[in-house]
Amino acid sequence: MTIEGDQNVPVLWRLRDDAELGFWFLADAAAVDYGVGEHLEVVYHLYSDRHPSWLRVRARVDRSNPHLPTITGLWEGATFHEREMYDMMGIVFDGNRDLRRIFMSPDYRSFPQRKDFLLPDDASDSPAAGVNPLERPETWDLARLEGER
Amino acid sequence: MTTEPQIRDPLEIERSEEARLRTAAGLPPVARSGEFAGFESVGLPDRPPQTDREREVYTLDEGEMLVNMGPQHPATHGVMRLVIKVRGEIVVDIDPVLGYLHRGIEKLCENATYTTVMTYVDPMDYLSAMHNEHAPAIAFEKLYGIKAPRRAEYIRALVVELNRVFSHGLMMGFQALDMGGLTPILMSFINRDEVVDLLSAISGQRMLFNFFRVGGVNFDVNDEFISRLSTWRAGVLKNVEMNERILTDNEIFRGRTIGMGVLSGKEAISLGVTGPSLRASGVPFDVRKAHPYCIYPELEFDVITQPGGDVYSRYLQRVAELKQSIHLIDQIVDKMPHGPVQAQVPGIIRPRPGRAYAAVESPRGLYSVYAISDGGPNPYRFRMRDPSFISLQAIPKLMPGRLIADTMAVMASFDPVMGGVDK
Amino acid sequence: MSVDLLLGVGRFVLATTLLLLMTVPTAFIVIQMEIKVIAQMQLRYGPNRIGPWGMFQSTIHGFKFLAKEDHMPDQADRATFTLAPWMVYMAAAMSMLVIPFAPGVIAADFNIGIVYFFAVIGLSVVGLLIAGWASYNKYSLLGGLRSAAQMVSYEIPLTLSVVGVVVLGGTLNFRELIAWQQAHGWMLLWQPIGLGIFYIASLAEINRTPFDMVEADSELVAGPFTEYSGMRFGFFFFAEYVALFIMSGIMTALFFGGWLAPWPFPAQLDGFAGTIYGLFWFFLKSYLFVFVAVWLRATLPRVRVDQLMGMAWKVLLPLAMLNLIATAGVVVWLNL
Repeated sequence: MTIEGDQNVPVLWRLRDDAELGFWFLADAAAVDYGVGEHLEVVYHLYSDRHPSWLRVRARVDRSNPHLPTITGLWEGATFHEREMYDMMGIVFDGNRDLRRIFMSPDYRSFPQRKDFLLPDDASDSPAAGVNPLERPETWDLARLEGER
Repeated sequence: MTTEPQIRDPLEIERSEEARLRTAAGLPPVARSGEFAGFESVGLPDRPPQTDREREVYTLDEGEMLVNMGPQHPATHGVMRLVIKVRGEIVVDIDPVLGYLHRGIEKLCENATYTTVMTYVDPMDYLSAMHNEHAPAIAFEKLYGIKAPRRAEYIRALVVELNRVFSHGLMMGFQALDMGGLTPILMSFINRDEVVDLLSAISGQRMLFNFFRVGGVNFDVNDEFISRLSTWRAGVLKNVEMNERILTDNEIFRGRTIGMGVLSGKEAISLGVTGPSLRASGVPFDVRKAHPYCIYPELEFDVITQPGGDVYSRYLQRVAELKQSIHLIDQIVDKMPHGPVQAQVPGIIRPRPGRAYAAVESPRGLYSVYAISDGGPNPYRFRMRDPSFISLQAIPKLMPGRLIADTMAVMASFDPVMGGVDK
Repeated sequence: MSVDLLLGVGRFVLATTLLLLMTVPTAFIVIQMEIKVIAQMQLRYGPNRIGPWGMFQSTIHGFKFLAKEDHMPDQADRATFTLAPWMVYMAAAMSMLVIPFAPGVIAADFNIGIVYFFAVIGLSVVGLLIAGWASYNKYSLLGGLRSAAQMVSYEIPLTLSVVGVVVLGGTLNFRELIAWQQAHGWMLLWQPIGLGIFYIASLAEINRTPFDMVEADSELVAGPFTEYSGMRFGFFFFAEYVALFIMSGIMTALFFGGWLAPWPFPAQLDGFAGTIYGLFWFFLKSYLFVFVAVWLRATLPRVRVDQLMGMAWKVLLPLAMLNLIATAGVVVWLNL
């Protein structure tokens, strides 16, 4: 089932509370990146006693404006899911009280699971860069080595 | 070590994508700082809190203090930092800080062939490595459109239940160890050692098994193994009972676990807690019965639940499930058919483009894999949902009002494994 | 200077030197027992490489402590930081002065031996408090305060249970108490409840499992001993095990007849053979109780701090008082 991003809360609410549908359990909330020019997607998997298989709800999110309402009002356990999706994919969940990075350090500056992710050069990017003198080439005393040759 | 840190604002977020996103969201890029004392007392550089919840945790009232249960625990579970806000001895709030064991497995798997993925997912939840492999195997088989042969399915169920036996056994030991009892953990390790000997006879490895393949399992099981299994089976209940005798009726153990960390069924569902912790709160949700996979429809077992919801119930639940797993192993060995153990698949699998979702019941809960294939030899997106990760959210909900010493007891009752939490 | 005085002083100096020398091997033996006994109870070997059956493992531990770097936190108070381990160790060593090892083998045969013993045991509380405070570490401070609270609370049932013994025996002198037990039967038959209270309170007093919240995961660090390393920590470590032996020894003296042999054997012999005989029985009984304490450590999980304090004040204290009243009543009634 595919829906537009900003409708995820009403749809999931209906799915959860409707007596016939009764999808009371959120099994998984994942994020997918479809490529550099393409959209992102948030995928929810739900469980219901009355249906023989899991329900997959795909919510499409624009890459240029990756916002989505939070579903923590429906399932509190979605907090960590959404934190992970924010941390890894950069999807911002409006209304989530605790939207900060969960795996990477709080000052990390890009989103690792995106398809256009480039591994930053740690030596120059992190705040600890250049602290150790060996990492700063200007401190190397090459004259000392010259004499030994 | 007194190196002078580079004076660069670690949150140079004005120019970063993150800041753009936050401002576009209406979230402040840098939150206002109130009477906020937090980060320095737990050894972090001082910075304003980023979110509401962070501000809530790190703002100290009169008489409160932030204590770091640091990444290196004296006991269990792996590397996780719990920042506990205490007033004297009483816990007011907890903030788990994760990511110390993050290895980027999901991203790594996007560059690995479908078979190599099995080696990558093993060290996630390393105490239940077979389950870690089971879910991707099912998901990839769905993508590829094949089914594993029946004997392979039976062997899969056998090793998975063996894994569950020793994982629950270890939880018993860890629960006691976190509360100071030194002996049950050694009994649990004796149990684990015996099971791991069996599993290494099948798969060649003691902990990270690399046993499942898309389309079956890697090695077959022979008669000698079955006889070793029956020898083991004869002795295992005695070992478990030895542990039980030390713990289940022990006054001190009961006094510290009964009524502690009570999680109601509704709360558990809302928090996403699954597995034995959920069933100990009375909710009969077991993936093996809910959406059966593998050969579980052919095995006879009930879904066990406990009425409590406290630490003691979770302990009893795991002991009961341990015995249930032994019963299941008996049934599997009785019913195992003959046949091939691996379907004919090429060396490098290229499934058709599609999406698949597979969930298994790991000793910690619902472990699921969502895989997207684009037709190439590597998965396009490989997502794992780890149960320990989600269960950790219950800890800040359960702990306020309790003593610090109870934190370890409650955490051990959820049996998280940091490899799975941090992926 | 009279010869008597010189002899007395010389005897005292000799006795105290011997005792101090005795504390360290005692600690070694108790630690070795703990390592091996717990290992056997956990179905494993324990250390078995150093010496036959791993006998010298704890000796090596002792030398390891000597060899470690001895550092101190920058902002810790030097004098008190150094003083704390000495106080704890001295409390243990001084209390050994009154333990009745064998007939004629008591370092100081005070007429108020029991009072002296309990007075000196209290010094270790001060030592722990100082250790926690001087470390300039909030976790140590909290751990020290908590351990002081625990020890002080359990001192009361401890002493009250012994008062029952004293009322029955009519004396505060250890030697005379043992003589009373020889005449009237071992005290455990007269004061079973007192024995129970004494044992539990003594375990809590020396911070043994199941009452070892102080040193186990108190705030997830080692409580008041966090900042100590090397021989300073060695003092604390050895003092704990010596205190275990001392408590077992006192319990033997108070409740189990000290150096007296049990029923089928003759209670006491004379002369030098009598001394050896008494020593043998005393050490046998003391180490038996040490074994029981180690057994408890292997088996039981820890009691939580509030449950621990609750037990001291709400259970043990009333029980001890009732025991005392009952004992006094029986003594008056029987005109003992």
